[in-house]
Amino acid sequence: MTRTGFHLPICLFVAVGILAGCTNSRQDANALTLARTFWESFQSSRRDPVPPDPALVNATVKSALASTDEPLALLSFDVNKSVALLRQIETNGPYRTWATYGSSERRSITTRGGVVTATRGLGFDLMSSSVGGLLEMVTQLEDGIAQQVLRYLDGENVVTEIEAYCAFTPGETETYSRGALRQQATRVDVFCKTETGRFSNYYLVGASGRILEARQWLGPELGFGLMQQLR
Amino acid sequence: MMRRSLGFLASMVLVGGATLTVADPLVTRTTNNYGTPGGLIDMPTAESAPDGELQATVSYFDGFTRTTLSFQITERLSGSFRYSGTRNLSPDFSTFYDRSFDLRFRLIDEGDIRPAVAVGLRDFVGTGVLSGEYVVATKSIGDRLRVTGGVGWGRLGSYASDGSTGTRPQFSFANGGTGGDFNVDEWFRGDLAVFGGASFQVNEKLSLSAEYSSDNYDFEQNAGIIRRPSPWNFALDYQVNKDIRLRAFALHGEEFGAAVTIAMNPKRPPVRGGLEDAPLPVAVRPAGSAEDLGWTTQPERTAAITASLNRSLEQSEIDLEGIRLDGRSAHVVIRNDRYDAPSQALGRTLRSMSRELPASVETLHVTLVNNGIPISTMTFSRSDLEQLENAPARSALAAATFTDTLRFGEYPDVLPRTYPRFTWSIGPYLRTSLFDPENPFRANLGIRARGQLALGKGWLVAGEVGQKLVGNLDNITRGSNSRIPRVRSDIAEYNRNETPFIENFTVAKYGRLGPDLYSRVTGGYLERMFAGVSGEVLWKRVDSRFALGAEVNFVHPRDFDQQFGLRSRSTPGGVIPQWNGHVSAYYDIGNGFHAQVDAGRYLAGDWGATLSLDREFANGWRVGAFVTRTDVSAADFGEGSFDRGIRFTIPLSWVTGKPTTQKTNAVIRPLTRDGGQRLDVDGRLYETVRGSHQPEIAKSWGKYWR
Repeated sequence: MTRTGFHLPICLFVAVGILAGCTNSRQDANALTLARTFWESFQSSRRDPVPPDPALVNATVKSALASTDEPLALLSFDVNKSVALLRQIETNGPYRTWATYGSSERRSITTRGGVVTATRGLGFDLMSSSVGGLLEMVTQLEDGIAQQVLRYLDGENVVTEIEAYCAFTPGETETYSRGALRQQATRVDVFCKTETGRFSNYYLVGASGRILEARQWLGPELGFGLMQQLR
Repeated sequence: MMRRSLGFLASMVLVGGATLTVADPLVTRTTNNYGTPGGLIDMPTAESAPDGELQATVSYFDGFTRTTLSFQITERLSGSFRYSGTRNLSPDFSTFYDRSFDLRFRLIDEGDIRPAVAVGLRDFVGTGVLSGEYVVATKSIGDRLRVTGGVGWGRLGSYASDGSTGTRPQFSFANGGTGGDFNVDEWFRGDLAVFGGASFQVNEKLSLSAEYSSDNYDFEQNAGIIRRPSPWNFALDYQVNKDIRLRAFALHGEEFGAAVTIAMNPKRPPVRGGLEDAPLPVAVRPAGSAEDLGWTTQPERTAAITASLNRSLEQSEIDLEGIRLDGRSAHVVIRNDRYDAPSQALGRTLRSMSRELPASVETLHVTLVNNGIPISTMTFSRSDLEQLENAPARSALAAATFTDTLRFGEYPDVLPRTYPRFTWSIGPYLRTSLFDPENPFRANLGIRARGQLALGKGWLVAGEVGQKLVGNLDNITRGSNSRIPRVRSDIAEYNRNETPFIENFTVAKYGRLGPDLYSRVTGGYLERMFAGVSGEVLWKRVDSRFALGAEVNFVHPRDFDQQFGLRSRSTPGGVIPQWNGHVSAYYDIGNGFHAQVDAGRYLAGDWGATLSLDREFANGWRVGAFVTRTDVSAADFGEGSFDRGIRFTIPLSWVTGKPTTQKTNAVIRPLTRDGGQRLDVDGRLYETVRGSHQPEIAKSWGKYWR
């Protein structure tokens, strides 16, 4: 997921002198881990992302649906064309936390009402969001304006906020068909403006007011994410 | 309805339009030939680098090399340290090397019509061959063109002078003396001249500049090493990527040169927010479950809870040192060697507790231990933890309370198998010697091994041994000519060592003398040059930004081979005294600044004080400067007159994006002499304690939920 900048001067600076070559403590950075970090960031800056084969994704979804009763979802990112099958691992009030299905990779996503409100372990993580107004607009298929707040850590690890003012426009009805779900859904288009830019999201809302699919802008680096409910 | 949306969007466009008229702080990422922020060539401008920017510039033209490190200390104030070498400037040296410091302050921001105005000092401490002062104004015209005009004194008033303000002694090698003093009465004195220029941004990567220079290069012209038929200079700048810039320039129609600038900014890490694994989510208790206290009647349950909590914390690489459970509260003691932001260790510990502790436990206490002693305890209500997981981080900070652990009556017992604990590391080391006029950069590369044995209750045995592999530090021939006890200036003797050496080998005892009071006693081979005993006490409240400390040391100089032997305290400059020590005051001023004053007796027996001022970033970066004045006269101190330097701390997590408490520290001193030198003992209390206290934890609180 993560694209890291490749900082030449820093590499030079750190290359010698402060590395612990190898160690048994948690405190010291291991030279090998450090070298690997740089190698990975160097590699990922060079690789063109390739989307996974849709047939393979469908097959994985099918077998997951067959082997578990728990809520499942697909999350795709534009920026690296990655697709992850998610399972719900925890709930807290209206919030759901999801992690990659069938993997011990420790990355997670938190949603509220089908809208991604936080990410963890992706780099440039979305720390939390205020989406109360958004959910009201979308689920009631209302035409109007609501504020959305996205929170991140800045370069000093201090929380910064991006405030977006969004205009909601419910539109056509279409058939949503993913995983075990097949139903009519209304598309709500959302146009948002922040202090420095703008973005367009959309939500597909099922008959019961449940958001089945959400395509949302998650931040300057994470770009757009597409969350699709499968059950 | 649609009308409402459009009206709203129109109002946002208006707001957007309004922001364009707000004053632009006139930021540049270009540096000039002196390595200070600015778009011109030899002349200064009123521009500033982005806040916090660190820029290293090397510029070269025939026989002239200037290496400069600039730091944008605040949005308005920048400081630079420069090491310049000029070939054949003086008959006494083949290359004349000189160190200089600059400061520039932007007095007035640019307005619609008003230009930005800055005042600056160039080479204001030191021998003064580059000395000059200026007042300069810069105005942007459109997005691409910036025009600058100013008045300069000293070097910047040496060509086509338009008047004078008093007199200014001419620089000469003879009256340079020991250098290093602030020549306040010479600033803005003597001949003055006007200068000016313009820079033009052609596209994102390329910019051009031209200037009319008021620097006559008098000293260099007299030495016959430069000709200056024209006052005009030109330059072309190319931004290679966000870190590197290249420049080519033409000076006075005679010289061509080139420069390279490498920039970084503590506020711009490679990855914001870190790359580490996701934390465990909070587990919310089912309604009504908190009433069940049945588990308290089963003693074996406590052992099972401890084991599962330990496993959960292990996953986050946090060490559990103790736990105390009762029906409604739990107190956990952790050692955090992984997370440079302690808030992150606390956040992860609490989430593990929410998953592992019985539902009846409502009050959660977490104590942070460092060097074997408890430093602070954070208390958080489990209901708050459940409710605030998805709220802005500031709500969680407001819900947390910090207390000195000693104020808790019942402290958890240390878990079995916590001590003794041995940690080791083996790796390369680099040792450098800078600014020797015979060879300004020398270095040794070697291998070193470190070990630390923690025995519990604050007892630590630690040591480091090393072996040089390659290097030229042993070539240093300049011996010490110090007239005071030689406590540091014999460094060349220590560097000549080719055999394995003991960097340090100590036994330390950390302790708590009472609430808000911390103590340390360290004995053994304390540092490279001294063995002995060092004792320290520190008073600091857990929620305070202020601390007081005192340290007393009894020392004896070590043999030059850095093995177990000691050498005589008698040196050609005098006898090294056995006792030294300081009282210290520490204050976190706020807005990212920290001040420290140490007053007392230094290694050579001189009495005085050190003032240190650091810009501290919440992610752990520090850039600072220190100056020490003692009762050693400038003549006895020798070149430089008094001790001063700049220092850096770079957290490794900033580089890798993964949490680690490891950081690298560097100190650059223009000169190392014997006056104003302190003992360099490891593990001083303030750094041991401060990071686990509320003000520091609050700074990086954003990491709490990360």
